[in-house]
Amino acid sequence: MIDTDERLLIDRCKLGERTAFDTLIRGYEKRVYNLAYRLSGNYDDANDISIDAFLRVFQAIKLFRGEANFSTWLFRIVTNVYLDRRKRMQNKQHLSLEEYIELEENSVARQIEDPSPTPGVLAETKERHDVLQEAIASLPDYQRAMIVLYHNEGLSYEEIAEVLSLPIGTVKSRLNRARLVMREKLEPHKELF
Amino acid sequence: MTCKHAQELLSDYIDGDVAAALSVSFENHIAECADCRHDLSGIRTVWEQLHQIPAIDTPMYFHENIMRRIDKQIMESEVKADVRSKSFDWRSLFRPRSLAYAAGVLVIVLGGSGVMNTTRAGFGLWPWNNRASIVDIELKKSSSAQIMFDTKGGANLIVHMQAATLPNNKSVELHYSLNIKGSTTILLQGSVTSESEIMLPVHLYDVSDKTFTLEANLSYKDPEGHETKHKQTVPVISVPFNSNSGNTNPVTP
Ligand SMILES: [Zn+2]
Repeated sequence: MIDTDERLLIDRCKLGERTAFDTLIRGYEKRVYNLAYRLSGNYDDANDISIDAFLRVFQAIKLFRGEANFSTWLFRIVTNVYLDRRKRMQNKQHLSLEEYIELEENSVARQIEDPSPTPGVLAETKERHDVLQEAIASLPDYQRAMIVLYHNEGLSYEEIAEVLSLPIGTVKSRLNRARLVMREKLEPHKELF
Repeated sequence: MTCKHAQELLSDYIDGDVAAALSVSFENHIAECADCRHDLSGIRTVWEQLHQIPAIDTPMYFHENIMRRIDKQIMESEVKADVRSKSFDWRSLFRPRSLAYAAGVLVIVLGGSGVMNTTRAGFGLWPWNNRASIVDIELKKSSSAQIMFDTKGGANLIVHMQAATLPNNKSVELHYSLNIKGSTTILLQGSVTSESEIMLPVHLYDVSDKTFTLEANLSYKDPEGHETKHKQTVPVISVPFNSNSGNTNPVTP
């Protein structure tokens, strides 16, 4: 179901109205930032990805026809911004497969050193959070995107298929695989959960 | 049922998305096959663990930073559009698109001596009627700045500039450097010619009870390479807009 208020806001955004856009995005900023953070695994990239994504939304909102939920369309943009950045980064560095894996591990290591933005969270919760984040970060791009969209953003398989432009069967099988990989990663930390 | 088939059904089964008949043969397979049983319980655990991930808070000024980028985008595209169409239609500024976020319109006009006239105009008054002459020899008479308050305590300042022509009617190019000073300083630099007017929109955050000044530094190089400089400072004193005063119905020209 699409919210009528939101529909009206989107119509105003299509006319280039700044305040309407201001209001519209307030309701999505946290989810977009969280999605970007889970995808990229670090706070700086999450910030850049979110800003880029909102800028793209602003430029492209005229093309939003309202066939899908606005959130689905928005998450698609966030995911694409993330995947584009990854591609650009990989092209720039001409990484071999080995280096690529190494980089993945480094990015995980760096991520763990990041200060937690949620002070006051119990140490145990933080550790659990880090272990989960590390496991998510170790997944290949598409699997990671699916895991986050499904489990964090609560998207349905249909919506994920739409966000990632993949057949629904592919979404399901890759999600299955991703969850099994996650299981392997989390097994040694059973005591935390 | 084969292991391959069972593996494909794992997530759907946890979702409760497997038809009853298929579900029975899936459960039979799970009962017999330790590998698939292990995977099923593993996925179930992961499922629960993933839902424990706490949401993180956005960084400070996250929203403001996004809107700053949006404003930059708006500004760039408007300047581009302005450069494209030499005959800029003034009225487009006051069409509902702009009016919708402007709670009031304030036109500030700089007198030749650097003294500023401020005119507050409600909707329906066309500010260009209230524009006295700005400026000086270097900029054209119609150069001015306008402030449109938004409802969030910010304002959009639009600086219009066009270089005057030389006495022999020759076009000139001036280099400008504008400093908008208030709670933060914004610097705009570029060049302006006699051919067409440029319009520089700037978004100012939180103008309530704050004083902004607009400092214009102009320089002109003649064909011999001699440079003439000119500096002008305009106080932009923001007047808190009272929405009860004046007509608030937008009038379409
Ligand atoms: Zn089996």
